[in-house]
Amino acid sequence: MPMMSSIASTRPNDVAIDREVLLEADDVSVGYRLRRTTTVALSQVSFVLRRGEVAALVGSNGAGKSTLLRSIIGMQPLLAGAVRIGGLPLDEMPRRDRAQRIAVVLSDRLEPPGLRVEEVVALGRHPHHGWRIEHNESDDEIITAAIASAGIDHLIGRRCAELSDGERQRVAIARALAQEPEVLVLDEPTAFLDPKGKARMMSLVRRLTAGGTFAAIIASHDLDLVLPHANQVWVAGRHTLTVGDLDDAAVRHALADELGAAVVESNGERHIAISGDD
Amino acid sequence: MSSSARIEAQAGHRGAQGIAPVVASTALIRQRSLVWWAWVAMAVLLASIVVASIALGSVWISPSRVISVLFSSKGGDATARTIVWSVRLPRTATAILAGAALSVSGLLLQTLFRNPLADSSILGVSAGASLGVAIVVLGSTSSIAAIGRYSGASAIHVTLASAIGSSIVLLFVLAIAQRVESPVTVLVAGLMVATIVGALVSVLVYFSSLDAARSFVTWSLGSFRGTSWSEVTMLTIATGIGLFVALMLSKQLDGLLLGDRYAVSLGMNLKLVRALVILSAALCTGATTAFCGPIGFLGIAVPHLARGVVRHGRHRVLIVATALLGASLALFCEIVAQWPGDDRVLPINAITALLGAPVVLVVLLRNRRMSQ
Repeated sequence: MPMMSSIASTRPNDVAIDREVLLEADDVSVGYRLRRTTTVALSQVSFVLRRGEVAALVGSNGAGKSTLLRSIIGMQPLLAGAVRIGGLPLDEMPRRDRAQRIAVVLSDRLEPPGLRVEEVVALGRHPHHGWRIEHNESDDEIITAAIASAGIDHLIGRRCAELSDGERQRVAIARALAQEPEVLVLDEPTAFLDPKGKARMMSLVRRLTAGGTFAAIIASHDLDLVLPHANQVWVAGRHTLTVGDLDDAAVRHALADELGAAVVESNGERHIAISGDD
Repeated sequence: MSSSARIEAQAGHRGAQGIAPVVASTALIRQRSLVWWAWVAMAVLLASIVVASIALGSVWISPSRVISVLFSSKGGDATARTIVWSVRLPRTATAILAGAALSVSGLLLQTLFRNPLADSSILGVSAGASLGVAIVVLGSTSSIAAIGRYSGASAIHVTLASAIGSSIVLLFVLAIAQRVESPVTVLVAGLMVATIVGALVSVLVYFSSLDAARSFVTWSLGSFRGTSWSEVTMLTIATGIGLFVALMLSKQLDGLLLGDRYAVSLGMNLKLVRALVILSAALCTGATTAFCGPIGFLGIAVPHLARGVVRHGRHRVLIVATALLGASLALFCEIVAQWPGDDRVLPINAITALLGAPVVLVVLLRNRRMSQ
């Protein structure tokens, strides 16, 4: 049973190294091909993400975060290299299989006219059925469990459009959970939330990932929110991705170079300080 | 509440999660697909408006006679039979089909554009259909005497031209919508496209013969009257395909409600789904416009009314409700247009505008995203 959100744990869980690898990139290049010109956003990208791990993807605007995420979720082809999910190459995977393995939470406002919370969550079951079937009785349990895990039981029956931004993003999380993904990709999920909403959202993601069956990638500008609690830090910049954890010198360098960010320790807690100087 | 009490309350809440909510939320999801009284009400409404529409007119035919004419082979007198079968029934069928098709097409466009005010008349889709009709009818030198009186072969041509005109405009406006964020900008762009296409139609009318031009102008006022049974058949086939495709897409349309990126993440083939939505909307709008002229406001207003009546957002429910209500409303407008006991007939577009425009205003004022 999931614990209530707590701010107490300050260090990322030490994830056992023998956990199953869910997402893997080998020397990947991502970018855009427009007619004959190819724009490479990031190249030589390699990472290994295991079950239960949270990777924080940071970088300034235009550094290629979104391009990388779009490529990982298969919305845009890779320029080179291979991304494997559960050992299978992503770019050869049919849409529906991919959707059964990767779920997303976006900053897009979730305002489907007339749909209620449980109906939006039920949409997560779509990729598990064919063209016509939306969900069946065996899905009810999954849908209910997803609603409970995201802590939105009290919102059942409400229309999504009348919820607050924070509540709506929790619905988005529940919807993604109902998809039963192996990889949960969150693209700026806290963009429109107030500080309390951001903190709740982040601790929810961390708790669900640690206790869940999936790995999460969270792209965000809220460095102090995501970095101290992530198992992996991915810094996009200078056309490549620096991968490591917050103790790595390379990661700290990249954070300082790209974002002017420094890791500060106080009372055993880590924080991110950002300098506005050039 | 003290903190310990709150923790206890939370613990109780959490503890109950194991079993109780499974039942509760499951029941909630199922329950909503069964708003049976709303279905009964909508069906009764449509049936009574159908009877009223056949009974009312320049000659009053009592509902009992209407029913005997309709359901027994010898019922009613010869005059009543003629009036019912050759005038009022085709008119009623036309209004039902047009109302259902235009309303469902409005629903599809609102979902496709994620815009509560999208509709075939606002986005220029009806104008595209008009251009198709104008090219076939005004451009051809053959002796199509009057529009709205198509012969069998030309009925197919006009329907096709009209559907093609609709889909071309729809593709164009969709391409614009991909580039602009603001839903209001998309609506204004659609209006501009409608204006441009309308101007092209005017140019065509200017260069056509006087007779053709006159009948084209009459057609463009909109009317559910004067359709022959062969035209009704054509309308039935075209809108039937359109509505069927819409129903087949109900799952995908639900996914589209979350936005394109979420839809793709659900494994949806966005291009294919969009193409099918456009096909369905273009068939519905195109066929209706070919036979009834461009008719406004039903497409915007009815989906909102349907959402209000069935209190539901899923398309498999909403499409049927929208079709039922659209048919009833179009027929109601037609009855009002030929106010009983009066020989004059009001233009149908005036009535649909009087009923539909207030709905648009309410939606505008209610919707935060649109009014910001």
